[in-house]
Amino acid sequence: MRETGATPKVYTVSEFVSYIRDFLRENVGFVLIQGEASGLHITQDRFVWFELKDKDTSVSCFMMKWELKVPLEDGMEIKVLGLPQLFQKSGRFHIRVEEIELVGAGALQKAFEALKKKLEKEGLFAEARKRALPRFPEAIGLITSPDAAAYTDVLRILKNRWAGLTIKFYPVAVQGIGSVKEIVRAFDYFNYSKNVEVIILTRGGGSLEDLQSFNSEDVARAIFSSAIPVVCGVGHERDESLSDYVADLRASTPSNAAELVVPDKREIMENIVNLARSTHDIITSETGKYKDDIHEMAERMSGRVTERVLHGETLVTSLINRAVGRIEHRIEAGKTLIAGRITRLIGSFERALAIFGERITSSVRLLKNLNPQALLERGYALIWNDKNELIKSVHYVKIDETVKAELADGAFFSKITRKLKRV
Amino acid sequence: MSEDKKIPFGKAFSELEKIVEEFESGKIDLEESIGKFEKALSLAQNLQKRLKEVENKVETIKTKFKDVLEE
Repeated sequence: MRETGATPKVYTVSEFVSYIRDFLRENVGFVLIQGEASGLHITQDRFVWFELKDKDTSVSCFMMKWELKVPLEDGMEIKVLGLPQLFQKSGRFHIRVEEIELVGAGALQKAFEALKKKLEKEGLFAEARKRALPRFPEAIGLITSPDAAAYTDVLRILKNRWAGLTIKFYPVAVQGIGSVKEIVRAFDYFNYSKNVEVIILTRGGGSLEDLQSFNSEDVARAIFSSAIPVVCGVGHERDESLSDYVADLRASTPSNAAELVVPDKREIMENIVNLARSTHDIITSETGKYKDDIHEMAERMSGRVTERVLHGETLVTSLINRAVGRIEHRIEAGKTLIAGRITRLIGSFERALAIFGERITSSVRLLKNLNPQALLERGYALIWNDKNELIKSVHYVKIDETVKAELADGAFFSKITRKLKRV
Repeated sequence: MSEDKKIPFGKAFSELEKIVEEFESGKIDLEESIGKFEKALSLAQNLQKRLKEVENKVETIKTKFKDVLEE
């Protein structure tokens, strides 16, 4: 389609190769080609080469070994995502492969079994590493396709069961070329931003081919290395994927994934009511017990106090009465006592006086009796010597001595002629 | 709403459960239990209020890099 009259541009070979490369990138871009792999070989342990062919023709394919995520073998039907290109050096046309997807149940099943064995051996499915989900998550990461029924199912169930959640939805393609990278990126995002407590990875059911990304090694490892627990729910109950095995919790369906992640608010509401009621019942019964105790104590106390008061009153009254009585009594008694004493005193004094009087009388009588005069009157005589000494013994007189004999009415002198001694 | 967010649901719920456990153990004295009972009631109220929120908030993460295959 050259313009008439214009001189065609002359390229150098390098210029031409560059021109075609640019042209292909800008005008064709990434293409998806399905065909059968053949002539697969790896050079320098880094470069993967194969032909993609159908019954009529073939095209060269090239990729880096680290980009090869499926167990590729000659004869496998595959889908290839890549950019048509020329090698700068040789100018050879080829497809620069980005990603390969297996086609056909047989190949997929084989790849699935091989990877499952490998990951299992590595411990990616180990029960011991499975983490508990948060009981009441506040924020949930959702990785799925916005077009899938799974998306609406999850949101519906979450809304029915729980309230006030923040759902961070990371939209991805869940199948087809490129879906693996998107899913892995979603895990990277959540683990980097750490803004959710649990991640739901979900999609609807499908064929083994549809589930390829959920059976890919990259997604399995992304789930495995996620610091945030992952619930995986794929399609219908019978569908299984490697992502299910690696996830912390496997849900049977997308709806089930949502059910596993949040509790049922009706249940929890009832729970809360029961908990509150339980505290109420306990405290009521406890305080009731105390109330009874207190009441009883109060009654007992008031009873006793009243009793005491009454008792006290009588006690005081009686004490006062008794005290007063006693005082009066004492006074009376004192009076009588004193009176008695006085009487007694007077009596004894009188008696003493009487006795004294008697004594005086008898003394007087006695004295009267003792009067020598009286004796003399009764015929007794007092004998005196010439020295006027009263002679009381015969020894005091000598023969021929003259003594005076005193009688009641006079005296006479007599001469001692004889002495007789009483024997 | 922002007030409710101050106490995470899980934390409040656990606190409520803990109080009930303490109550049920009977190891709580009367004076303490009255305060805890009030706390339990306020927790229960907050939790109920929180559950009565109708809407969940959905935020779609805007990916910076459009995938190569997206048309």
